[in-house]
Amino acid sequence: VPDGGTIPGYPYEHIGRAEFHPDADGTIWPPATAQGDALPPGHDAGIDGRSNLSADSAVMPTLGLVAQGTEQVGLPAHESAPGRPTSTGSNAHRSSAEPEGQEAFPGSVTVVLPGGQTVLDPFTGSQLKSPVADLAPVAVAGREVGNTFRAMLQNPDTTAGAGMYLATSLGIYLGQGGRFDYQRQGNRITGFTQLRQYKDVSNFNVGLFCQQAGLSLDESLRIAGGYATFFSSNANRDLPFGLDPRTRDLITTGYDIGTHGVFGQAATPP
Amino acid sequence: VLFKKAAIRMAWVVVPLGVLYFYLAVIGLIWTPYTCITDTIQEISNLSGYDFKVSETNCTTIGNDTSVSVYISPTGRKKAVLLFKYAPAGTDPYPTIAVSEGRSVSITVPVVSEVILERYEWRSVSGTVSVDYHIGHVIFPVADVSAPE
Repeated sequence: VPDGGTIPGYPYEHIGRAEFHPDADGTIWPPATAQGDALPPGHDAGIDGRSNLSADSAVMPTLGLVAQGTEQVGLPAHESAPGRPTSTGSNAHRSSAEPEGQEAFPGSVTVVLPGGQTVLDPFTGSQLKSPVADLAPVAVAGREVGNTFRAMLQNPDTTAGAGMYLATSLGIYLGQGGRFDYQRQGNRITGFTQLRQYKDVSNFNVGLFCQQAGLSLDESLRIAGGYATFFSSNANRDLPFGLDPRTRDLITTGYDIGTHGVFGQAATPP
Repeated sequence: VLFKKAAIRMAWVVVPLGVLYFYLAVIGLIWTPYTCITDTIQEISNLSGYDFKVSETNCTTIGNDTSVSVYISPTGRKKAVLLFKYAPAGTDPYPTIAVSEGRSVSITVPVVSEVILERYEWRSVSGTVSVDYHIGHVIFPVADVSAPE
């Protein structure tokens, strides 16, 4: 993605994983997409330029590149989407809480990668939002944990504690209320509240942190899925890794963007 | 004396387990009352004789996931039945609920990430209610999500 462009996130199972092509400088260029061109409203081009999202183009209208400074494509939230079912009952009730993905959350900013790119969140149809624009601290912490973990593994005196160190670090940084778990606010004494607008970036952080720590994508998803299976009431053992697909895709997006060197080299590339 | 010995032996088991639980809880790697947080999004009273509740549950461990649930109960009764549960997506993640002729419930959502449970029929004290779902797009379709009768 050219500086100032947008990297599309993706639900890889149904629309195909993004095929990033880093150039010699490590810059990421998604293939076959008009670089920097905003997609027209309603256009359903997939990440790779193929039209692969069925006729319901309003669902994820922003999977292509959107250069910074251009108008974000997609339907405004107040417009009805074509093909969208409407309730015909005169007694229909609409749930009225603030919908996710809109600019209705104070303090929410767009994530900006070190090269100036942004990341499209296909699940909200907008750019990935976070309480902080810079996710470099996530990558730095991941690398530090990965380096320390491997150093402990190589030292016979500390090998036995390496696994405990990794688990503790994952908990401190990514566990509930952890440093990069942006969607929990509060503490364990007075309690937490959920900040639903940050759930996607929190999962993105899991992928980025694990990638920078040198874990493989499979290990990262197994760890996340293992905990979800035991402790989440939303987990589904029938799905890959027991993970909610949205969770899995955001972790994968964070992992893949880390893989392409956007945040620097991982501790030990898997 | 026997009681004292038994208490000491039990303490050898319970105290380390307690310390381990506390440690894991501090680093966020075990269940706590805050692992899953449920917020009530909307409560609808007496919609053609039924009460509805829409709630959102977010669970976090390593990564997090969210579901939206729709419950129904006859107006005035506390015991609610789960009709519909899904993983939300899009800018319009919550459902629109309608009841027609007192016997048919219509639930409309523009887009969901995944349907976790759908109940198509519900037998209440006042009769059987059918449920129609109008979901614009399911990003991750799952084969069978119908609730057991």
